[in-house]
Amino acid sequence: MKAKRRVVPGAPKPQRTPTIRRVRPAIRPVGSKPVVPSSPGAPPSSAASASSSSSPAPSSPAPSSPVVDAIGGRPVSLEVDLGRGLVLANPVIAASGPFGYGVEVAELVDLARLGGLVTRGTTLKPRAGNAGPRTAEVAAGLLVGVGLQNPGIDAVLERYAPAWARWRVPVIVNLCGESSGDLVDIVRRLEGVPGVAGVELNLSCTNARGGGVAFGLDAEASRSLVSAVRRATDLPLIAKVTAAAADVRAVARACEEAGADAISAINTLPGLALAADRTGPALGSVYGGICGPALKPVALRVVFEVAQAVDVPVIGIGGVATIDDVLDLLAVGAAAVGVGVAAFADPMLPVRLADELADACRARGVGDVADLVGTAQPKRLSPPSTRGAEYAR
Amino acid sequence: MALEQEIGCAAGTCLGCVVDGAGGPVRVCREGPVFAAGELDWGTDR
Repeated sequence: MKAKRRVVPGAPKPQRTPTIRRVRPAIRPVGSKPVVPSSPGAPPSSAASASSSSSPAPSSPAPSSPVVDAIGGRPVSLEVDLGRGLVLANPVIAASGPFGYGVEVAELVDLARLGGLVTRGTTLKPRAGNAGPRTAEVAAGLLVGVGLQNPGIDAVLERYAPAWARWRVPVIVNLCGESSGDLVDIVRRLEGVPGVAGVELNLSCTNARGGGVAFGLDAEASRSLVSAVRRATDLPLIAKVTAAAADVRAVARACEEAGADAISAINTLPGLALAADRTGPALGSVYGGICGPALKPVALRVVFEVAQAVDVPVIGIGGVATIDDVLDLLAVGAAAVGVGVAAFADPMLPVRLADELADACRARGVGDVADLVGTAQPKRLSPPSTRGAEYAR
Repeated sequence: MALEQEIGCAAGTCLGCVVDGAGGPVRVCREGPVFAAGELDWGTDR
């Protein structure tokens, strides 16, 4: 298969003690023994608590505790290891945005049953955000132009990190910055803060030195940004790539080589909607990010390509609203799946999808969700989409 | 003042419904929808 091309930039550092407690799976069947976490560094597939009936693993010992759970199925291992000690209890995470900093919905949603929670985009300094209107409905989605309204990293940590530290769900802080200096400043403040399980780097933010073009459009700009952040922190580092890049595989590969522990794909895509009278744009910010089911085919394409290009786990995001969307993203190679704007309409959706994923595993006789990952991947590397595959013949 | 606004999440997370308050942006769904006139910034049009 592929050659291992993991490059660790800078001087070798001592392995950091994982910040994440091994959290119990959200969907542990009642009455069964807790799933024994895999040893650090072990591949996620080894975390299977019990072998499935269809594909028994000869090496794993037979489960000693009840093999039938409360609803009559076999226990299912949903754990996902994103690296550097960031272990999700299940593959369903709340993507950046819909749950804010978590505290806004903590009374509404049982956050402990999520695999992870990614905060809204946070910057070094406070930002007031864009003038309204900030949202516009479009076919199969929502156009959003909030403009990164946030109180700045210091206020965020002061107000919300104490709550995060009490929660069982790993909280991943989504970061935006206009320069690597900004982002390095931010991650230095995050280092060692209880409750911060990892960082997600939004590569779609504008590169101030790159002529106002987003980092994520260019592999080399992404590489230098990720490696600068990597040198500044030992936290699990996720790079969020954008489908707007001409060759997203090159960007993802550059992020991996620069030390990203995982890749999340994709962000919103820039779009435009018009005001009802067509005298101007619908949003105060003119452009907005397209969210929702409209994004799903794009997300499937990008995850399909990125999963072939890198060896690190991929978090698939884009248009997830049903369990079929989750299964589709897993099938093209996502190890975990982020739920975005659909959680506005139904805040309980991410937790329900985690439940439904366990059911889907049982229905398929699968003992470990890892067995559903990458089933639609090609046997050989497929050509990049940028060639215009539909016209190649 | 009872404000009307397009509301995305109605839970205070999406920041889609903010208007200018006297002390910074306020969410119509969470801090509002009913505000004292003095709580709002009347100088700009959001």
